[in-house]
Amino acid sequence: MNTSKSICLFAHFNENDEVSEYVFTYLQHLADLGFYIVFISNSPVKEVFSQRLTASFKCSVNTRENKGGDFGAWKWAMQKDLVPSDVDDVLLANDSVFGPLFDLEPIIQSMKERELDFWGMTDSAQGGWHIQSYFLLLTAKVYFSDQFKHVFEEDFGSLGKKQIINKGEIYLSTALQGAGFKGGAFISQNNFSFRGDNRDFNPTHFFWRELIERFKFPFIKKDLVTKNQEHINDALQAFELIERKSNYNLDLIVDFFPAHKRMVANSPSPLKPLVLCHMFFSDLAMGFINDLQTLLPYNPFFVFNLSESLGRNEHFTRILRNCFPESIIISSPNKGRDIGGKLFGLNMAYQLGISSDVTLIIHDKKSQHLGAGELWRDQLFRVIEGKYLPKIFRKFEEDPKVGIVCAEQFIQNEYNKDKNTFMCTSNRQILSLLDKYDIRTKDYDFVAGNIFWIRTGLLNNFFANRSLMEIRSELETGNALDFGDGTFIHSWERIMSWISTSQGYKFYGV
Amino acid sequence: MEFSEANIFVLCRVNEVIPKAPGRTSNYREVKSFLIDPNDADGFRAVVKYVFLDNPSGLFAITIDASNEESLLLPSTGWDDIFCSILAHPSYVRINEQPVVSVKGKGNAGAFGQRLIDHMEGQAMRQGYSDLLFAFVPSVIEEFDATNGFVYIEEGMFTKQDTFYNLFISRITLGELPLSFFVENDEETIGRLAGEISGAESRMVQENPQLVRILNSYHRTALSLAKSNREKTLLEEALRSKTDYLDFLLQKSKELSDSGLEFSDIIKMKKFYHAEYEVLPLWYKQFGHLIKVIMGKRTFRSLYDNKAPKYKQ
Repeated sequence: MNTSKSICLFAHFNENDEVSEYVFTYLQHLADLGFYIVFISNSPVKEVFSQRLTASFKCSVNTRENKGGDFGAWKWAMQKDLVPSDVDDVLLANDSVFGPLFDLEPIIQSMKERELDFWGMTDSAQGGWHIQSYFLLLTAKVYFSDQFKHVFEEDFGSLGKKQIINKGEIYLSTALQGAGFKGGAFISQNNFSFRGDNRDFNPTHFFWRELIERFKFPFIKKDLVTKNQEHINDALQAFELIERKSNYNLDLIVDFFPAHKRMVANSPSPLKPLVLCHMFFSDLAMGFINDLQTLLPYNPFFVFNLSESLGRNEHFTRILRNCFPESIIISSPNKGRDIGGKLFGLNMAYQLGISSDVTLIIHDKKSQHLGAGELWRDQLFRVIEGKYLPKIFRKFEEDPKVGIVCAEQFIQNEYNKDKNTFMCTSNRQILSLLDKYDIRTKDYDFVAGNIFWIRTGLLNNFFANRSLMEIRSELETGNALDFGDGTFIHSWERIMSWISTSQGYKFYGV
Repeated sequence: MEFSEANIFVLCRVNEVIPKAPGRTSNYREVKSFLIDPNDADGFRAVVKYVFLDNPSGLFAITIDASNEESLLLPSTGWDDIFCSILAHPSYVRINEQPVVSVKGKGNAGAFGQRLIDHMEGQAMRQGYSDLLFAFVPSVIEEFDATNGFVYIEEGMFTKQDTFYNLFISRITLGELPLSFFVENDEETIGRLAGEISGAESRMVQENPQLVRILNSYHRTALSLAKSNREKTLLEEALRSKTDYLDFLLQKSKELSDSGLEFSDIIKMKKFYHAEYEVLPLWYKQFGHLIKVIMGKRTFRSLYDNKAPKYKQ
């Protein structure tokens, strides 16, 4: 138990005006360590949560407008004189971490013994050396110093996120060090096994595993497990590691997700959508889940086909189910890459009798062999962007001859009419499949990347007398590429579009 | 008990409730194993709909019931696809990373059972399932039988003292871990089995603590090994595709360098940038900088001071 007078300025934001369970757990731990909590929310807080906060521990609940992020909130607390002058320590903390995974008390004790003026859990060289501000403990000497006040003279409310980091988080450490204050981190970058020169990265993201496994680090960054924007390969394994190493209640992370849900009772369109989604890459999975949230207002039925590694990650499948409660989740072997996964998913939808008007065929496009793979994905994903969705649904409603809607620039044509060949390595396979499955069309346009909306009726007609699983069984196993000999997978990537053109329907590009 | 972690496969029909075994203390996984007649495509459909649409909790598997003489026909068709769909459910049980499919029939299920297994294995292989684990569940038990870790339990089999314990210890000391028990959906039998497992574990701890420690360690290692092997397979697959791509690049690079051309998106972009921008006269580019200042995109100071921030955020 902390015997000194300690206060925690806790910066918070929640788009639903709620306080998540993981925040209560974190605050309870801080309160148990003797911190008085000054809860500053940059969003309104519903009465029920406000009452629970004040009833649970010594806490004052404050709300303000959402300006300036956590530094804006801390500045607001300073301006309101919420920190009494007889305080010993001030902890600046925020809701950007899940934890504590391990008891904070031994860490606080050991850091006190180092007699630092200010310290945090980690430091970083990203943008210049600094103590990361998600957990920053200051002595009263620092908190009431002119240098500290000087940093907070900045008008954070007028700054963007990156500027707040530069002029708040990074500059704070520089200014305090410049004034002669002694700062440090519980785990410094020099502690990591990494020995490279380039340290321009966030250690709480890149070294999350080493932090927990080797140092019993008490936090994991919320962004890492909920978004993974830096595509850290093993981020989804964090759940298993935390379960193994810590007593932290993983439900606090897994159940955090439904808060993002944006299900509405009335869809903006009378069309009933089905989403056939193949997810293969662990590092893209969380970002992909977030991308797909835009579809929720249309009340689609989701069929997720996961790679083996994602399918066996029970925490991930729970998160997926939380985000998309009415979905079907399957995991099939890697046969036919995304095409095989989508065919399997469509077969599943048929077996379960799921009906729909339009179907989105989508996967977590990576194209790791292409330098511009990410750019491709962003462009292909236009078909799930909120600003394009009304237009897409309207097009299907108003133009009965539109069979497929996709990103415009990916409509391609490789057909050479004079020679009756396709200008790609899979020419031989395409010709044999067109013959075998009796597919006839005059329009050989196709959607490169195989992400598009299609009228479900066209799929139903096409597959009424063609077996999805028979087709899938002929596809190549593993991540087959078409650089040399061509593949049935890449042939079907093209034929999927001709399901529409062979029935006389046209493309519409967004 | 860490090392035993037995699986109890409760044979039942879809929607059948499994009674909660009283006094359950043992560390085992309960698996609902749905009995399906091989000629009953509707039975397979019912399982698919139940597990995917009703979202029951817990692990499940399927047991093809070939114990009926009338079943001695090979499956006509109609359920091959559905069979693979069932395997795709994330809660389908796996032992050492392998999905388990069982066949209930006479003795070792006989020639028909084997033909059935061959058929299912073939269908699953066509869809990429290369690692199914098949178990025979005899329909008539003459004596306590255990093969490859699979044990079938019938009521009345616990009557002789030490029978269960002897089987338990003999199998696990042979390294057949985890043990999997198939049991009818009968409250008394399940409860008795749970009690026997628990009792055997306790007795082992008392009589042979050293062996328990070794078995725990063995079990942990075996689990970890199975998982690592699985990950290794996936990584090898990823590596193979990357190697294929590198080979392609090397070959393409050679072809293009032989023909005097250059290859790569970056080089193309650089050429584009050079052709579209760098070839312009300097005064034209400087005029562009002024326009940026006028439009508020760039700071005025940066025109004459290299240290000044160049762009307005």
